[in-house]
Amino acid sequence: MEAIAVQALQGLTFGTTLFLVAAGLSIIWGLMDILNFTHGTLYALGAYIGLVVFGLTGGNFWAALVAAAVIIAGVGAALEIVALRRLFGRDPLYYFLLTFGLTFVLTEIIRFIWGDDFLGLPAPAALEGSVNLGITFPVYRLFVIAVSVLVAVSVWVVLTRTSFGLLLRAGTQNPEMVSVLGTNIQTIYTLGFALGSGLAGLAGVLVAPLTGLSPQMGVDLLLQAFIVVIIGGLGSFRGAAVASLLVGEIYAFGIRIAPSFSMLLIYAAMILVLLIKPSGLFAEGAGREV
Amino acid sequence: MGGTDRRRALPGWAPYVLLGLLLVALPALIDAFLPSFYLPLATEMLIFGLFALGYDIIMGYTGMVSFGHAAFFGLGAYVTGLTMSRLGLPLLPAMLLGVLGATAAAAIIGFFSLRLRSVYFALLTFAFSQIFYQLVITFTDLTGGYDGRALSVPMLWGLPDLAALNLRDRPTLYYFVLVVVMLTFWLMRRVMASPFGQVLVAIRENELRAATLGYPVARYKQAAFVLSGLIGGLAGSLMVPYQRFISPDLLYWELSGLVIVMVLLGGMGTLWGPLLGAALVVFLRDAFSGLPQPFGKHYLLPLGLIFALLVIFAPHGIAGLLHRRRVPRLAREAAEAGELAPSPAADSPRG
Repeated sequence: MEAIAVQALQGLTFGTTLFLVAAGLSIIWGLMDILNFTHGTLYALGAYIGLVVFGLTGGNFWAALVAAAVIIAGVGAALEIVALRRLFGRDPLYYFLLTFGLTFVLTEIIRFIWGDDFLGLPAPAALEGSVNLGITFPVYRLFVIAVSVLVAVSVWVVLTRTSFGLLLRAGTQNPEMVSVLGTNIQTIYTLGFALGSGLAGLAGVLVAPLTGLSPQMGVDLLLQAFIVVIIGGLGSFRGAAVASLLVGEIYAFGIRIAPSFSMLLIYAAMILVLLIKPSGLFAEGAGREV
Repeated sequence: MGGTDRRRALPGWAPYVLLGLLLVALPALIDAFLPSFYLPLATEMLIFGLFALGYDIIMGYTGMVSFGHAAFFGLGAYVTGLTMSRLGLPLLPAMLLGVLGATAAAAIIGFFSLRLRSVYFALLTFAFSQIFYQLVITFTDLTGGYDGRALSVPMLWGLPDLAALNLRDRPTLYYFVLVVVMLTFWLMRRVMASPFGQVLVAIRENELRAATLGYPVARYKQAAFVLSGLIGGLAGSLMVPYQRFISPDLLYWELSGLVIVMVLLGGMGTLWGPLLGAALVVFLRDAFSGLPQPFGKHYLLPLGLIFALLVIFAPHGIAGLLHRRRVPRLAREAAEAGELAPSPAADSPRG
C-alpha cells in the first residue's frame, strides 16, 4: 500500500512538471499556431542557466529558479521577434520546420558551452531529506509538486482573470479583431511566446535536481510533452492538465512493473486515444480530416 | 519538364544522361583527382539521396510533412542487418525483408497518422518513429541498444551469378548503390508523371477539390506514404553493406529532420532536387566535422542555421531559385500543354 502511494506521488511529481512544459507548448500553439519544437531545448537551456546562476550567487537555488524563468522568457521573446515573426501568415508547418532548425542550433550551443556529460544541480538545503506523511517521501519532490501546482494555478488565473489574459485569449480567437480594436497583436504574440518559454525554463530548473542536466534532456521531455498534447488535445489547457497527470502516473507505475517498458506504455496510451478520439480527449475539433 | 527554349535542340532526357555518365565515371575521376575517401562519401550521398527522393513523394508531391521518416530508414537497416547476422541470410534476400518491414511499418503508421492533417500529422509521425527508436534501445540483446551492433558477417549477394562481385570492394558497392538509385529515380519519374502522380499533385494543390472530383483522397495519401516508406526502407537497407554497422542513430528524430533539410535545400517536388540536397548535406556534414575540435563535432549548428534561413527566405530550395525567373513561362507552357506546373507553384505544403 505504501509502495503504491509512493509511486503515485512520484507520478504526480513527473506529471505536474510535465504539465508546466506542455502548458507552455499549448499556450503558444493556441495563440499563434506555432508547434514550437525548440520548447524542449528552452527547458534544457533553463536548467543550464539555473546552474550558472546557482554558481554565481554562491548556491542560491531561488535566484536560479527565478533567473532561469525570466531569462528563458527573454530568449523566447527574442526568438519570436528575430525569427518566427518573419513567417507570419504562412502555413503552420513552416513554423514547425523553422523551430526544428533552431533546435539544432540551440542544442549545439548547449553542447558547446557545457559539454555532453551529465551535470548535477543540488536541491536547496532546506528541502533535503525525507518527510513522513504516513509514507516516507523526499521533501524536494513535494516541493516540486507544490510549485508546479502553484504556477499552473497562477497561469490559469492570469489567463482567465486579468486583462492581459483576456487579450491573450482574444488573440487566440480573433487576432484581426484585437488588432482593429487598437491593441498591437504582435506584442501580444511576443508576450505569449515569452510566457510559454518562461514556464519551460522554470520547469527545467525545478527538474534538474531530480534528473541531472544533459543536452538531450530537452528532447526527451519534449517528446513526452508532445504525447501529452496528442492525448489531451492540442491547444487545450484542461486537456494538457489531465493528460500530464495521466502520462506521469502511467510512467511512474510502468517503471515499477516493467522498468524498460514504461515509455512504451505511454505510447500505448497514445495509440489508444488516437483510435478512440484522434483529435485528443479535450480538443475543439481542430485537425480532423475534411 | 525539360522543354524550355534554350534546350529545345536537346531532348528532355539529355541532362539526365549527362549526369548519369558523370556518376558512372565518378570512381575513375575520384581515383585520378581526389583522395580515395571521396568514393564512400559519394556512396553515402547516393544512399541519403535515395532516402530524400522517397521523402519528396509525400512532402513535395502530396504536400504531407512527416516528421518520423527515419523510422523507415532505420527499420530497413535493422531488419536487413539483423536477418543477415542472426539468420545468416545473404544481402539481397535480407534487403528484401528490410524493405518489406519498412513498407509494413509505413502501412501501419500511415493508417493512424493520416487521420490527421498538417502539424498534427507531423506530430503523430514523430511520436510513432520514436516508438521504433524506443523498441530498438529497449531490446538490447537483439539490437545492441544505444551502442548499435557491428555486423561481422560475410557480405554475400544471395545470387550465384553475382558471386564474382565483391561487396567489400568500394567501387563495386558504389555501382550497386548507383544502379539502385538510378532505377528508383527513373521509376519514380514515371510514377509521378502517371495519372497516379498527378492525382497526388492535385491533392497537394487542393485536397477538397480532388475529393470532390471523386478521387479517394485518403487511399491515395496512404499509397503515397507507403511508397515513400518503401523507398526509405530500401535506402536504409543499403546502409548495411555501406557501413556494416547498425546503430539507433539510423532511426533517431535527428535524421527525420535532416531528410526534410535535404528535400527543402534541394527543392521539393522535383525528385532531382532532393538528390542534390542530400549530396550537399552529406558534403557539408563531412566538411564541418573535418574542422578542428571542438568545432567539428558541432556540425549541426551551421546546418541548423542554414535550414532556418532556408525556411524563412527560400522555402523552395535550390530548384526554386533556379526556376524563379522561369515560373511565368513554365506556368504558361504547362497551361498550354494541360499539365501542372512543377514545384514553384506549390506555395505551402498542406498535409
